[in-house]
Amino acid sequence: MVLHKFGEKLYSGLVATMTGHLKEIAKSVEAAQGAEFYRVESQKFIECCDCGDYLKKAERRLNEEIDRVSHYLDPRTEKKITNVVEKEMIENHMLRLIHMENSGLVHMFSDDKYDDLGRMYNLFRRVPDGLSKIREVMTEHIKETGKQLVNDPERLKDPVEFVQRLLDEKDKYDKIINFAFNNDKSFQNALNSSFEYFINLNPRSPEFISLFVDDKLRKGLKGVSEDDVEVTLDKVMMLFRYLQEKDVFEKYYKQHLAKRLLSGKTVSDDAERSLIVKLKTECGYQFTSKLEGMFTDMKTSQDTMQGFYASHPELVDGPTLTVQVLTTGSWPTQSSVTCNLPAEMSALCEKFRSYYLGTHTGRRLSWQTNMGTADLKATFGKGQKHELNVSTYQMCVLMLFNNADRLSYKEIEQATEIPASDLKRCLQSLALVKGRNVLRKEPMSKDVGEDDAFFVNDKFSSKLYKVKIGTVVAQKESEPEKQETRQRVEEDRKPQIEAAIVRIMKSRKQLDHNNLIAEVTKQLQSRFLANPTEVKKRIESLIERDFLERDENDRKLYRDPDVVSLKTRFGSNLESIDDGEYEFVEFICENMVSLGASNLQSIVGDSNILPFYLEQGIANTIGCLQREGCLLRGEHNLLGEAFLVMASVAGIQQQQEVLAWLLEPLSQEWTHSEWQDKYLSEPYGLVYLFSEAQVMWSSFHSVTFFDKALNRSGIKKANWNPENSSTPDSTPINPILIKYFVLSGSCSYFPATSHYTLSLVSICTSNFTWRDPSCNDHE
Amino acid sequence: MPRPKRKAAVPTRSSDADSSARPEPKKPRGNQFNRIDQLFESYVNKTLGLIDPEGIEALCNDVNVNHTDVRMLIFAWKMKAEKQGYFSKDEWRRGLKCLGADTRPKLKKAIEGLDKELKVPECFEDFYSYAFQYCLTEEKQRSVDIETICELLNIVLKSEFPNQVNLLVEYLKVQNDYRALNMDQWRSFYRFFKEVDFHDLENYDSSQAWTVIIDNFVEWLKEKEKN
Repeated sequence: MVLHKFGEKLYSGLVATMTGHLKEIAKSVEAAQGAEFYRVESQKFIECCDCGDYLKKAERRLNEEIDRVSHYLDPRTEKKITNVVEKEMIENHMLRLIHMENSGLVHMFSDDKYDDLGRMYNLFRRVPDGLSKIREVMTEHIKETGKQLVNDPERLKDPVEFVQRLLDEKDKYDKIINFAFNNDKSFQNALNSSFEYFINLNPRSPEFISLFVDDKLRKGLKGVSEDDVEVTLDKVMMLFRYLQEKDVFEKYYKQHLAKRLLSGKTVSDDAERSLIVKLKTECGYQFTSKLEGMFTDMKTSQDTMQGFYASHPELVDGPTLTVQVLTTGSWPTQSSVTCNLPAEMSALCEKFRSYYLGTHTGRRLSWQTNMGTADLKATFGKGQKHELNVSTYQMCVLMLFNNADRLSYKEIEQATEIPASDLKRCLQSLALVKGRNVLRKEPMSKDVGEDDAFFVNDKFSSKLYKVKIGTVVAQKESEPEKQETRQRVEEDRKPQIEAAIVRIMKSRKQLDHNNLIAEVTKQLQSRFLANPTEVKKRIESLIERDFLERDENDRKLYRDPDVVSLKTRFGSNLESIDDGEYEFVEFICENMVSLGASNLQSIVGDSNILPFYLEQGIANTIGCLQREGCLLRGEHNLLGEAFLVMASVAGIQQQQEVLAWLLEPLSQEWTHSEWQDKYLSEPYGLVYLFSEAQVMWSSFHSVTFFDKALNRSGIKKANWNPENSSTPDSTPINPILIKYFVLSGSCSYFPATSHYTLSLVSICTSNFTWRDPSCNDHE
Repeated sequence: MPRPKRKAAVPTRSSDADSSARPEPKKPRGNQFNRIDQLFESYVNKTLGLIDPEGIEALCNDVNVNHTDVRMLIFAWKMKAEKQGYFSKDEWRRGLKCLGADTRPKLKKAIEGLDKELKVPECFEDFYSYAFQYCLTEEKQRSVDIETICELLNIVLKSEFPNQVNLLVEYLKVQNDYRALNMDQWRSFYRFFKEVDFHDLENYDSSQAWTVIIDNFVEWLKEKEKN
């Protein structure tokens, strides 16, 4: 009985095992047969098919097997069988397929064969390393074609074309990755790194991208819908992100923007601003603060011109003057050039100069004659009338012909005092360009020679009434100009590298060489790729100036030097008053940012009275640094505080003076008519003010700073009366402050997050409790 | 030792705070003290209260050692002399006590044997840095001109690294990047000679913390070797 029961179990157990084994054997046999089968078949196909066809066949086989398994076999065997197909048909022939002549991967890319590519992607992703092989080849291919593109002299002749080709390449691969590669992130990344690689092979890429933008903003985007404008600008930003030398781009962008603004040739102000916002988002406010300054100048100049003509109504009948007043720090540096303006113009210019300086004391104006334009009404020999749009230089030359029929090159040179190379170019554009030859040259040679003579071209004709001859368009730089720009960029980088080194060392206290270089590179990478040798040179320079120490025993280790050692270095100098102090203050000014506020205070803590002109020097330096965006947020206040502490040793009088100097830049900003119009002319203005985070922050910092300063100085609030103040310069600020903050108290439009506003209001209502008559209406 | 410059007015040295770890030497016994001071008096410039270049010249004659000899430099180092060309009384006392000399013959013998003082590596490093310091003659001077550097290299390092010094001096004379070198660069030369084998420059890594001038020197050496 027992045996029987057991026998049954045994029997069924045996059967189960046997079936199991048989199935296994069947599978293996199947697999083995399958493997052999597919090996042979794949070999056959690969000999006679091209890549696309082979892939189709492989896909078909795979699908057949999957089908068969689902109908006839245990579904668990699917993986094993498909593995066989994958291995034999795909894995073993991967490289051969990829590199197949005339039909391999590279050809699929070139011919945009989305189907084939998609098939390859789907098949290869089933085998180990399949996708990485595709990615490798794609990367290599993009880099190769990119490299060729970037080094091709033909392509480089037209920067706009060049950049368009880059964009087209990017578009192409974006599509491929989208349609065929399933938007695979790893492929996106590979695409990005390849682009980054070859775009930076050409040192002129930043310049060319800026020229492309210039072309678009000047004419390319004319009549284009707002959305499409955004699309184009976003594409430009995408290229910009690939650039390693973003600071070079900034330099060129600034130059080109300046030309666009000054010639009034921008397609759309909105588009310009939109791009600046994008750049700001990408790179931070420092990048774009100067650019924004340029727009502000344009706006302010309009106001100035209105004021000028309003106060000189007698000039309305004469030639119309339009002046753009450019703030030196914001616009690309230009050397001033000589040029004698025609009498009518110079008289007018002088009137403007006196008007302007009358309202803005302490400033200096210098005419940039190499950047202006003029519209001249001209009547030619046969009575034909035209309006000529020319550059200032061209105007000077042409006006000479009002008093003479014939002029030699030398006479023109003498009369206008325009530098020779510019003059030659100017005369070329006036005499040698078909359709614009308002002047005639003898002899008729192609170049302008020193012995040439010029006449008005009485036979000049043009279908248009308005003829444009000006030459103030942004172009690809000539070789010497390129060198100069490159040199300036290199010079600008040095202090940035030094500031980065000092900041890092101040926070880490001690760091070894390789890590220091890595950190510095990382800090600077949003602007440019720091050259390790250059960083090393800066390190050595800082060691020489005692900002950095090399460890005694381990030459690879750097140390932030003890503040005490800085103090001892100058301590002895402070004892001998004249020379020592002057050098000391020079040192402070030169190294203000690097030293940092806390060092400043501890070094200077017990110094003697500083001569006032030196204090002014320091205040000016702080102001300059702030304007140029060289200070990190809050650094300005720290420095200012340190400076005040220094001055506090010297007594109330000097403190007040120092306060006035520190207030000066703020005062200038807040009394600016544009600022006032924007923020103070109506209650809503303050809403705008407080909604701009950047402005809010800096206002907050400024007010808290002055609050602390006033407290520290012990100036009794009740007594601080503008009439009694010994510093007349600070008077304009106070009424403004009052209006500003009292108004803010009465506005209830602010979002809940502005606890700054509340503290601002409380500070100011507590400080400025005295009344200013002009404010009564608002209180 | 390079010929020191003559100075019109020299501030008198007050007793210097000796900031080294070495404790103030015990006051020497009466006689010895007097003899050392007497020796000082025999060379001193009465108006200045210091031994000036002329006095040093006289000393050199007496001990029969050229003033450009490295041993005079070592002597200055022993004294921790601060100003090139001048020895103060305290410095003199310090030096002679160190050398254990209080008569002219003893001094002569001591100075003659000074080059052995540098055998100990720690001492040498200290002396090496001192040699550079000693050349900073102007107030606030931080760097020394190339010519003086070359002379100094010859005086100080030639005996130990003849080949290397010759090559470095040759390089310094032809390069254009630097017209003067600072202490950090000076120090790097000695370390370089000690650590790097000139026959094995392939392994030199310019991403290491060697000074840029050393990087350039190695580049130059490699070029030279090729030709």
